[in-house]
Amino acid sequence: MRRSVLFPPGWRLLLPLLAFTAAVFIMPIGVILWKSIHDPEVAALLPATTASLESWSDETMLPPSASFDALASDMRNLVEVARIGELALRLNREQPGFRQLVERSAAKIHDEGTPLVETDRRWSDPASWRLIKRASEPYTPRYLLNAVDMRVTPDGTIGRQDEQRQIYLRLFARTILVAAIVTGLCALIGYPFAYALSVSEGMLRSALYFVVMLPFWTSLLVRTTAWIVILQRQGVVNELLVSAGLIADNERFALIYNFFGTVIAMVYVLLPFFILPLQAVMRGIPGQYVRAAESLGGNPARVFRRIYLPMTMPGIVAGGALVFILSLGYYVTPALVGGRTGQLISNQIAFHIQSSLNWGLAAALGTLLLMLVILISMVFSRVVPIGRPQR
Amino acid sequence: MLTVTMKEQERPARSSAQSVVLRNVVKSYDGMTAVVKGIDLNVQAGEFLTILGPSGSGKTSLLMMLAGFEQPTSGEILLGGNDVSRLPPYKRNIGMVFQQYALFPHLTVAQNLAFPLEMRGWARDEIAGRVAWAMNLVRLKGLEERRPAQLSGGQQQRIAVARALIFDPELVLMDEPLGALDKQLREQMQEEFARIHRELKPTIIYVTHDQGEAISLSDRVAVFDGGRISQIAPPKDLYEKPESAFVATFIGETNRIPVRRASASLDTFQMADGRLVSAVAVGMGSSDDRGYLMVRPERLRRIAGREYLPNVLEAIVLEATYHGDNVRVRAGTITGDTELLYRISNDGNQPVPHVGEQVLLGWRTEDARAFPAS
Repeated sequence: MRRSVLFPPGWRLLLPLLAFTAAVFIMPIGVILWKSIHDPEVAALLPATTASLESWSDETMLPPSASFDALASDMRNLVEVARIGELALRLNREQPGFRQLVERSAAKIHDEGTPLVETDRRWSDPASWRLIKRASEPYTPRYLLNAVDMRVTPDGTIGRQDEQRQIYLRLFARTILVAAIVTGLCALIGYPFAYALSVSEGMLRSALYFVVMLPFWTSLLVRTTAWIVILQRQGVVNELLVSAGLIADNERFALIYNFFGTVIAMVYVLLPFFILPLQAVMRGIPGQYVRAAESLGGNPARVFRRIYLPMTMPGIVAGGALVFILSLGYYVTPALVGGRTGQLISNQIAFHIQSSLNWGLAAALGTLLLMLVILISMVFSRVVPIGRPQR
Repeated sequence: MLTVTMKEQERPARSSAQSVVLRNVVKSYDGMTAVVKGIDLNVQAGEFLTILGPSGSGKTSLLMMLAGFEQPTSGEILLGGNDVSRLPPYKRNIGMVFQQYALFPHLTVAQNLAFPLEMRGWARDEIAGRVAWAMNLVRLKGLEERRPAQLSGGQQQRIAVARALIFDPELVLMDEPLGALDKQLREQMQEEFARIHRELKPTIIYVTHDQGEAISLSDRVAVFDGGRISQIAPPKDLYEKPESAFVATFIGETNRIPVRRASASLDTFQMADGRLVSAVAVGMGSSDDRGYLMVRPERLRRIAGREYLPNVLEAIVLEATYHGDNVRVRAGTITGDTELLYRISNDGNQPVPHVGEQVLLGWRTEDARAFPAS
C-alpha cells in the first residue's frame, strides 16, 4: 500500500490537538492580525459622515456642505446615546486636541443647535476633514505604522511619529536586548549545570532535577514575593552588603523594580527551558567521543572547544531559541518586578488592551512581535535544523 | 572453525626496545576487590599482542589504564621506557581504536584524521600531506570530505584505524574494534589489520573476546582470567599447548574427560569407568588427585582397520551435524558417562556415521593434556 505523505498512518490521532489548536490559538491570532489592519470603529460611530465623505474628491478643499450636515447629525446622535466620548477619544489618538474639539462642538450642536462650522474654526480647515476621512476607512496601515513609531499625517503622507510619542521601537529594542541578555545568562549558568545533570546518576540526578524544576512548582506570586524580600532596598542582599561594610547605608543598590530586576527574575524562570533540552542532547553523546579526543592528544580545554561544544551545539541552539523566544513575549515577571525601566513590549500590549483600549495598536504590536518571533525562529532553524533528526 | 595462521615469530621490529612494560599493575575500584590483580607484561616494539578474555576478566580495565582513562591502584606502566602511570591520556602518545569507532560526527573524514596532528601543532601543509598518506594507507582516497555518517561501517572502522595511526603513536590500542561489524566484514577487516601491521609495524595491543581474531592476528595472545594473565604465548602454542584447563576450554573446542590419577605414573589416568588412559600432565602436582583430560576434537580419531593408538574408547554415535566443510559427530562412551566430540573432514573419503553406529575413537598420548581439577 502506498503511504500518503499528507495522511501518515495514525493521522486521526492528531485531530483533537489540531481542533484545540485551531480553536484557542490559530483563530484568536487570526483575529488579532485582522484587528491590526481592520478598524471599523469610526465608520460605525459616524455612518452618515463616512458615506458622504466618500464622494469628496478634492481633499485640498472643504467637503460639500452635505458632509457638514452629516457630521452634525452623527454627533447629535452620539450625544444622545452617550457615546460621543468614544469618538472624541478615538480621534484624539490620531491628532491630539481632537478630544476637546469633538466634545465641545458636539455639546454646542446638541444643546444650542449651533451649526457645526460655527462651533470651532478648525472645521473650516480641510485637514480636520482629511483626518476624519482617514480614520473612517475600515482598512488602515495606521496601527502597524504606529507600532514602529511612524504615522499617517492628516494630509495622507507617512512620516515619523512626534518625538515624545516615539516609544515602541525603543521598547522593541529593549525587549530584544533583555531577551539576549537573559539567553546569554541562561547559557552561562545553564551549560555547566546541564553537563552536571547529564553525567549524574541516581540520587544526585534526582536532586539536581528537583532544583531545575523548582521554578515550575512554585507559584509566581510566592516567587515574586521572595525576590522582593531578597532584592529590595531593605532586602537580604542589601542588608548583607551593608552589615558587611561593603556599602554605606545610603548607597543601597536598586536591585528590583528596574531593568536588573526583570533580567534576574526572567533568568530564574527560564533556566529550565535552557537546561532540559541541552542536557538531553548531552546525555545522547557517548563518552567515547571525549575519550577518543583525549587519547588523540587533545587537552581538556581543546577537547571541549573542538569536540564537546560543537557536539552540544544543537542543544544550545534549541535551549537558546526557546529561552529567547519566550523572553520576547514575557509579560508577568516584568509587570511585577520591572518597575519603569524593566517594562517590555508585552507590557505595552497589555496596557493598550486593558487600559487605553487601543486594541488596534495592541494588535499591531502583537503582530510585529509575532513576525519577530517567526523571523528569529527561521534564523535559528537555519543554524540547527530543529525538529529534524541529527546525523 | 578456527583459522590458525602460521606467523613468522621473528620479524624485523621497528626497534629492539621494549615498547610497553607493565609491572605488577593492580586496579581496584572500591579498594576491597581488585579487578586487575597484578599484571606483568612486556610488549616488544612492533609486536601485535592480543588480550583475550571473557567479560569481567579485567581486560577492559587494563586497557583503560593503558590509555590513561583510569589510573592503576598500584604498579607501573612504562611506555618507551618512561613511567606513564600517572599521565593523562593526552600526554601519552597512544592511538586508540574504539568499538563504536568514535569518529567525530561533526567533522569530515579529513578533519577527523587531522585532529591528532592539529593537537600536536603540525603545520597546515604537513597535515594535508599526512592525511593523504593515511587515506592511501586505508585505501579510502576520495572520501576526505564525507562525514562519518555517510560512510559504511567498514569504512568508518578504517578511518578510525587511520586516525589512531596517523601521528605515529608509541602504541596503538584496539578495543574490540570489529565488534560492531558483521561476520564477512570482520574477516575482511582482519586481513586489513594484518596488512597494515605488516606495512607499518606499529606496536598494537588488541583487546577482544573473539578467539578467532586473537589467533589469526596476533604475534602473542595473553589470555585473561579473573584479573590475571592465565597464559601468554603465540597463538599456536596457546591452542596446542594450553597450560591450564581454563585456556584449553576457552580457546577452541575440546573434549573434557574427568579422570583420577592412576598410581604414581605421571601420564596415566583412570576414567570413571575404570579404563586407563594416557595424556601429557600439565600442572598436576603430587597432591592433585582429580583432574580433566582434554583432547581437541580434530585430534580424536575414528580408528579404522588395524591402526594402533594407545588410547581407544568404544562409543555410540548420538548425533552427526553437517557443517559444510566438516561433519561434527557427538558420541557417548559405551558406559554412558562421557560424551566425546570429533570431526570428520568432508573430503569425500570418509563415510559419515549414522546415529547409533558403534565407533572406536582414539588419541595419541601427546595430543591429550591433563589438568588438575579446579
